[in-house]
Amino acid sequence: MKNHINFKRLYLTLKYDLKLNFKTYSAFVIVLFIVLFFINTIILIKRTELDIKGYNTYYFLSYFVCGFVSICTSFPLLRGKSKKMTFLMLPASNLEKFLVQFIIRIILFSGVFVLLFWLDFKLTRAIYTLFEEVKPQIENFGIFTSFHSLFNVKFYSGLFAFIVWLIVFLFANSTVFSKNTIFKTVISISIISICVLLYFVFLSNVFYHEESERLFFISENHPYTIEFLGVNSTRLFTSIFLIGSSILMLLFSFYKLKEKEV
Amino acid sequence: MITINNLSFGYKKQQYLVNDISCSLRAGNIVGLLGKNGVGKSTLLRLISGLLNVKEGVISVNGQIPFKRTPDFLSDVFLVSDDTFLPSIKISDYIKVYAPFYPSFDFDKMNQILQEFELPNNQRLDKISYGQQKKFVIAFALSTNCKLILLDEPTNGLDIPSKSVFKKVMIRSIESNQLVIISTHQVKDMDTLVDKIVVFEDGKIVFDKDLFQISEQLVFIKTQNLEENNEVLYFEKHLAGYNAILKNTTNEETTIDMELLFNAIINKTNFNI
Repeated sequence: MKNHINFKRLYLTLKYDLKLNFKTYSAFVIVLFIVLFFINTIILIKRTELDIKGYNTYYFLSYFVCGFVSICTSFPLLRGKSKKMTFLMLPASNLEKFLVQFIIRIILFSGVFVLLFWLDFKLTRAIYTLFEEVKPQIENFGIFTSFHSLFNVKFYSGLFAFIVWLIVFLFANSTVFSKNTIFKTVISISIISICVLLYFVFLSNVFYHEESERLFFISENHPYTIEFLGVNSTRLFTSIFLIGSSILMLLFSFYKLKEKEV
Repeated sequence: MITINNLSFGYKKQQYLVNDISCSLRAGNIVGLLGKNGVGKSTLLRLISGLLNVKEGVISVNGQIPFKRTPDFLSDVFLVSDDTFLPSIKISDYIKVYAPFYPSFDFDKMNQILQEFELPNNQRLDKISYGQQKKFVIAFALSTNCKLILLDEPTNGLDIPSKSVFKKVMIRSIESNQLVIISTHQVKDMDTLVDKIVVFEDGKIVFDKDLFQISEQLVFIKTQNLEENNEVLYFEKHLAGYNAILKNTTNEETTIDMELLFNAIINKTNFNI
């Protein structure tokens, strides 16, 4: 166990990564602040009213795009031969190296994003109301407003499972692809989306071949509820499938990291 | 310390760069791993450090399999590669964040070696020259006090005064429980530094001897006339005469000419030692 996880080593590895990439992370935070400011400005210019639903849409869309960049560029020391050597020879376990990237690229990023988006929105709103004669009808959103709606989403709706799956998928890609990670991830997501689409077309042909106007396997039209749980079966099984494949991908990316050679 | 049994490795299938080698290296030695460019010296160091996995055979370093790359193993092995990555931070900051990974790290030794190499602590690692970067990494490697230190072409990029400081620092720093393997094609730089020579050629170890054994059995001379020496094993002509290796029949001890010895080995001279 000591060879896999040791909290002192984990702290040292975290400190090492933050020190080495301090400039990159600082630049990312500054760029994020500027980009979010522009996004918020565009939102306020385009809309005279903004309710919680609209706010959440922009919030999660921005979070997804920025998070995509943050996670796809995980393991920066795996890009390039000499960096890779340094990374692999660092006296920490693979699990610790893995956890450090998870902490920085997902947990720390999420914290910074929540704070920056809220600050940016407040700033943009203040500037906008200062100069515009027609005051926009915009609610005063709190720092955790968007999370309240997220907590109301039930696990079996598939949203949580999909978010987990996506994060793990992006994380796994960053360990597999050492060059042009973002581009290759976009390609792989496209390929997976096409495969899922084709799979649904196949299913609709198998189960609803007599209904020519229906192209896809849409579960809402044929609901089936698991009585003792009271949940929609398709959504529940989709969630289980996504979480299951996330665990497999996590193991795969850990294995890829362990087997890296220079 | 290091046991290698029937080790084979190649980047391509059916084409081995390291081919069925076996050897054993003990602590307390500075080993010169010599060979021409591209024969697989760096590959062998990477196999020993766990950066590459063996295709066939076994490597054991202090009873551990290098490729498992356990933290205990990694904190006792330091590899100085020819192309080391150094981040854009100050020397002092690098030491502060990287040294705690090595339990036996000696900060006083580090400062002393940096002084000898004339490297100030407040320099940024990405702003100093290649040679200075090399000196810094060597200083760091020696200060870790790792049981196994692997140096790949350490004298590349060092100026002549730095090369002599390097030798001095190396000899002073290494303890009896440490093993240092220096891989180089600049054979002359290894004079008076190593106490064992391993020559690597065509994926095989073709020579593996202690310097003591060599000086006991061979004599290295400079002569104007070869004819008076009957026991010449190998010679090279130069402007003032010949450099020659002779069989030691008189128990005379001479300074080993590393370059001449290396040339003799790769020219397949049979020493019978």
